[in-house]
Amino acid sequence: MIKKTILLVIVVVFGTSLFYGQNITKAQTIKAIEIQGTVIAEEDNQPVLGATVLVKGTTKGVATDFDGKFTIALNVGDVLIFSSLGFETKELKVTEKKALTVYLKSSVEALELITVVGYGVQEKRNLTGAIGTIKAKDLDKTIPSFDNALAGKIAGVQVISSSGAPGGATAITIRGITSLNANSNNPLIVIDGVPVYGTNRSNNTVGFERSSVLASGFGGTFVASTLENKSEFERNPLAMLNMNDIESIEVLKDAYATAIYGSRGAAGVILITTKNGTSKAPRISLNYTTTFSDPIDTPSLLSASQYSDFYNLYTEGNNYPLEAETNWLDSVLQTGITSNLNISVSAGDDKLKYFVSASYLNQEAYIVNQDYKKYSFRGNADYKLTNKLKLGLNGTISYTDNAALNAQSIYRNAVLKAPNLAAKNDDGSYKFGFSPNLNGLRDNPLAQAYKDRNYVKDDRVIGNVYLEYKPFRWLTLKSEMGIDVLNSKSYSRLISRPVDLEGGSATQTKKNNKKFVVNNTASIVKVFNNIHSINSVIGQSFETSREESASIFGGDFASDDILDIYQAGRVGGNPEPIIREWALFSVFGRLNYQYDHKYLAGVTYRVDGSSRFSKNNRYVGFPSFSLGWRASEEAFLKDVSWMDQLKFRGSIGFSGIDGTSGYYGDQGQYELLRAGDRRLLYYSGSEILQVVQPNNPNLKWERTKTIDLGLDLDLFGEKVSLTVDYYYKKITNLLYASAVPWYQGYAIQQQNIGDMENRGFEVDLSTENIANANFSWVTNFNISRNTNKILKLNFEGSDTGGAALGYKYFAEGQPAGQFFLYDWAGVNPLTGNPLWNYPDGTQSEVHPASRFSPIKDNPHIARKPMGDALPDFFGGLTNTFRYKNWKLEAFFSFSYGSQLYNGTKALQYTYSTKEANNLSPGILDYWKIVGHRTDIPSINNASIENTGFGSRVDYISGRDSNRFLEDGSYIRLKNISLTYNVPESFLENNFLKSASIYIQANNLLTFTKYSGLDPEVSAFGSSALLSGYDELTLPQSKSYSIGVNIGF
Amino acid sequence: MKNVRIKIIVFIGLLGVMSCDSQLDLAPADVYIEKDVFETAETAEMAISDLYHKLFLASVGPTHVIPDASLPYVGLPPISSYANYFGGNLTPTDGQVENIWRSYYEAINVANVFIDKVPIFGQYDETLEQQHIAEAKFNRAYCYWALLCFYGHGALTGNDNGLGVPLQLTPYDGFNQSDLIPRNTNGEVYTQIISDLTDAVQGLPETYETQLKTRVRATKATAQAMLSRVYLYHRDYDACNEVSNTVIANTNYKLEPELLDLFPLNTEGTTSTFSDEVIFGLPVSSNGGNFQYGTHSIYYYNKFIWVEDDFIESMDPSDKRRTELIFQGNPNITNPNTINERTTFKFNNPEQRDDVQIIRLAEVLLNKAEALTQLEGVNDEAISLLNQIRERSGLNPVQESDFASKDALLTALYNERYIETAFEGRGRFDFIRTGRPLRNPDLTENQKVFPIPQREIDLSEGILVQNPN
Repeated sequence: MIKKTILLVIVVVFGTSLFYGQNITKAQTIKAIEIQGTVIAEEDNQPVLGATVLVKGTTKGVATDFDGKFTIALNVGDVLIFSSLGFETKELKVTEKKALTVYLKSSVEALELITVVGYGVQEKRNLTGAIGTIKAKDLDKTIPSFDNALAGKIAGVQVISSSGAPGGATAITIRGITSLNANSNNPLIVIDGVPVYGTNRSNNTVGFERSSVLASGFGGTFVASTLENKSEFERNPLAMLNMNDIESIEVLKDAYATAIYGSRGAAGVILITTKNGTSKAPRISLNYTTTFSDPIDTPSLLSASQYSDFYNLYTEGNNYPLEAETNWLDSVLQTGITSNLNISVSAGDDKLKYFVSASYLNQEAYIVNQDYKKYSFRGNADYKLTNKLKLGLNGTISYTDNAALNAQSIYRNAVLKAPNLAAKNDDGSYKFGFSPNLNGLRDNPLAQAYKDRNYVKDDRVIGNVYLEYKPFRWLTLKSEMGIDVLNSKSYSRLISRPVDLEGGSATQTKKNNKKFVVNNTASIVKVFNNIHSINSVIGQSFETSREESASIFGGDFASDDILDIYQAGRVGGNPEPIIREWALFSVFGRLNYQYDHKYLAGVTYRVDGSSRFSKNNRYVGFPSFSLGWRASEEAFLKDVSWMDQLKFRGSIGFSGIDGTSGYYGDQGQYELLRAGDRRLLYYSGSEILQVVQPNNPNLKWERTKTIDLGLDLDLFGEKVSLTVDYYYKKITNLLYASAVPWYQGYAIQQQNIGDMENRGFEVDLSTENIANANFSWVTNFNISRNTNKILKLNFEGSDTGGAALGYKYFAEGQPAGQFFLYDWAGVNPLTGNPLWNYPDGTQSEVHPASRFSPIKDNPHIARKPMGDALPDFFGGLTNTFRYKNWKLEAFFSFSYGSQLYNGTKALQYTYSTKEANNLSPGILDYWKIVGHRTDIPSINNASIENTGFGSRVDYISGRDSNRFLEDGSYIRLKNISLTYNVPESFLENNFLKSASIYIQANNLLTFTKYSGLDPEVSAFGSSALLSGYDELTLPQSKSYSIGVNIGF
Repeated sequence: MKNVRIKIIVFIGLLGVMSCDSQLDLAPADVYIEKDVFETAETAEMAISDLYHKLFLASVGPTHVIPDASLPYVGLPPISSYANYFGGNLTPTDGQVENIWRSYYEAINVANVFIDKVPIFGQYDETLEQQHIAEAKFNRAYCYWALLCFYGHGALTGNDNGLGVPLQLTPYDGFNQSDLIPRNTNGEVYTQIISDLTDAVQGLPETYETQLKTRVRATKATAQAMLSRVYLYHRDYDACNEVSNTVIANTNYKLEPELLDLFPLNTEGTTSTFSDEVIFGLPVSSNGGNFQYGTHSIYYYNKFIWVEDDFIESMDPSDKRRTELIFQGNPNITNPNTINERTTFKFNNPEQRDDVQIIRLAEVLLNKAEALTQLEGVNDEAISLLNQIRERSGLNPVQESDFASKDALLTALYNERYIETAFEGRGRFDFIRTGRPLRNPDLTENQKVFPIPQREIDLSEGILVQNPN
């Protein structure tokens, strides 16, 4: 599929080049003349400084001076081209008139050529950094959150929606893994200049662990290295932003682009610019979409009789009688209906521009009774107090009510619950427990869906106000203050049920995050002697954040209707919040220099002083440098008329990650010792103050050096645009909690132990294959490759510490976060026992960790690194066809070479535990007779082993063997849409200005070898390092939408 | 033009005021930072509690049981994890080999932090600062003594040149490869222990404001009593005799006439007091009980381990240590294997919340008696000390004429010492020290020494040397 597309594009490129290659120059009569003129902005009558005045068809040109004036010698009949950043280009034929006043219109179109960069804007053609841009019109607005819509759209940016849960997290990785800290690979997100609370697993996860769980006794079977089902939900903090408010998204990738964000730029930066008023007359637009979603696929399950038969056989008795037939999964699934309404009004004149919007989203999960609501409002405006002074604001208020926290858990339980049990008792109440079965899950997924209550309600305000003073056309002083306030209350209530949860339980967490930002910048855009041009900014920024969080829990409620935790029979937790604060003071500057439109050079520098840094290393500087060469401006290429632009660029620079060491630097921290129920403990009447984090003053900060080499090429009147980047990103001083000798007083401490590299390339290609009045075909294609390698560690290889960190493995010379697994060698057809590969090349029916194993003291030598969860290649392909008023768009995303652990399958093949899971029908092909060749071992096999004391350990269903590790590569038709624009002629007599209707399908087709439901899931939410686990994770939805856009 | 310039300056000036470096000095609201902890007496006192708490964690549970279980007097089930510690095939990856090492060094680090940080940050009363440092030094010395007993190669048999344990005397301050240190010799570790204890005697108070604190925090006498033990273990009998005299002369400590007042019935495990005989102990129930910081995890009461009949029979039938300090244990036990066994009354709380006695006067008396005998052979004073112990337990006094030789008296002292301090967590060390066999009499001297944890060897890049077999 991809190959064909590439081929097609090549054919088109060469085909069109022949056509566009033929330009004819006409001869002209020559009469020399010198013109003096002034270029003035039509909008405000201010002189336009630094505008380019070029004689068409030649290299001859000047720039306007400080007062917008220029002088140029040329011939009568020549055509002058006037262009400047933010204005429409104007052409004027020279007559004999010697004085000219040229008015330039500010241009919306021209904004397309402007790229937002850190603390400023820049002309796209003069960029020397690697920046990916996506405009509003290219975003799929039926997707509730913009980050999901970025998937596959920008080279080098990998976005994995972690699950099909509404409002759930996404993992965004820009140019690979940057840190070995599971929560530190998230890019910095900046909305209208305000760095906001972004994705971060630890900050966005709401836990609602049951506060009373029956302790499991001795005995029973334990699966070695399993992943527990955690009752937690990681929200997507970016979902609060209304997609329809976004003007453009810029992704800063290389050091030259990110170094201006210093200590927070290493994992990339995403800049979001929201809309403002443009048209003179108020413009009202209305958008309404309805979406119908179903899971992309559902797992196959045993029927009740198959289940009974299987477990009766396994337990050797009629322990699982066939009493009822309940299809739990069907009873909790539904077609979720999502309604999304969005209204905006915008207008602008010389003084005031504004954009106001309101939106409402009601998204039902495909799990019953689990819905997600979002209300958001935005007001953006700027007002010119005088010609030089402008006041502006951008603000959004949003409220989300996510009552779909339990969707994941309901789904999981519905898949695993025994199908031979009735859902309800005879009296109509929900039936809990597993009687008459011998074992089983106690949860009742239907009761969970309809009776348990759970929600997280977030109020969020993000906004900024600014004052912009422009004493001269070349100088802009801007001061802005921004806030990001998040108030969140999450609540989870489990109703009473017999045996293990009498009286029910509840957990409530309140979070209050407040962030305040001040940015002051002075920007200078100036041209000297018509040939030197600078675009620079210096500035200072101050940011403070206060994060509060308090959790309480309760149990033994008198009734299921009582929700207030303080009415519970048993109350625990601490209503007093835990407070975390940090502050960041920064000074930064950027100087871009351009010589004669040909040679570009830039330097940026940022000094960050962070309260998170140890006092001794508090201020850290991050420089970057870049060079660019617009070869197409050189005389020898100037005449190649089919080449619009050829630019080579390169950059080198530094950036950092500030989140790895938590708050307050590495100073020693002490806490009062408390019992499990938070009571203070004493030693002879005195409280006990003990170390929670030892003093570690010499810990250094992770530092990332990136080298980027890039090429921008535009051909045939910009019908073909190609951007290619190669990068090398080296991270030094990797922070990792690693072993120290016990005689130092600790077992494991943060150390600067390693170096790591990412190298890769990115290609962005867009082509206008066909363009004529009635029909056009545009293709956008991007592909990225990233290879990660750990260069140095102080140990030979290390597990990251078990299930909590997904058993990921780090070793020198290997990519970070590998799967490190025992090598499953199939099933011995003679005995039905699993075979395991040993390091000496032999195979054995004894698991390497078994107590009978010859290497039981160090079984890990039998484990091998088996690839990582990040793809070798990934990207996207969009084809847009227009025919008259019809538009058809198809977007494929693809990912190749990732490993995905099919934990879903592992669970559906786990029958040895007390959960007595419902299983996949595949299990029925278990080994039955000598000579039977199958992948499923005999039911009782040597790798489910007695350990004494009545316990058994199951080595075949854990996450530490490659039995369920699969290739996660896929190509997916992410969306296909058909839009009909109602012709203007039809609207002429109406008050409508524009109207379109569209239908769309998302995730319609997936091509993958992955045997699970959906290769695009991650049980660990936003953590890229821990990605690669499908643990009955809710699959994405397959959805169909229909919608209208109306403009008044 | 000028006007504009002024406007710009004012503009920038106004905005610049918003930011300031001092705003980066943030202090956490829910944790104490190190500087603050050691600045005031109040917080330093709370941190001192952690010194003892860490010592408690290190010295109870298996650390306490192993030395007694290594002798044939403690009953064990047929399959017992304690078998590892006297079977002769102890591996360097054994759980307790790791745990004992790790937990004592954790306690040492807390002490090192005090010794290092109080002089830097302390802003409180000089005497109290010195006292805190002295308490830390006592704790550090105690931990190194315990580590030497377990891991020092020849540390209990007079080999000063044998490899002891690495002396880590500075607090954790970040880890670099250059922080890797080799094992010091036993002699060097003893020297450090004695130096710390000698310093501690200087800085420690005679008593604290409460009777309880005097028993559970280090005093001058605590450090002296510990010195008495260390000198004895190090075979420096003169010094042992001398320092023991000071302790014995201290009127704050008296031999408790009634054994049941020394080891009272403590069913509730929530209140009890230390007797005047106790020089240092860890308050488990005296601390208010109620699982203040868990239990001591010493399971004599439930007879997971118990006292062997042979040992009970070896005691004189009238010996109060037999009649009063041996009992049936938990009456509700139904396990047929242990239902008829008897156990020690020293740990009689059903929930393992007895106070744990670490040093008491009886031991010091026996230290002195042993030292004197080593120095002078059979002598009156040693015999009278021995008799103090015997008579308290209702036994007849012995006479000089009962002992034909120095060795005979020493043997009597060794036996008395074990009967007196049995199940108090030092039996193994006393037996190795005096050349008597452990439960498995075939163990070589090398096998009586714990191996250094393999993890430490692996991390040391060859600097740490393992004990020979």
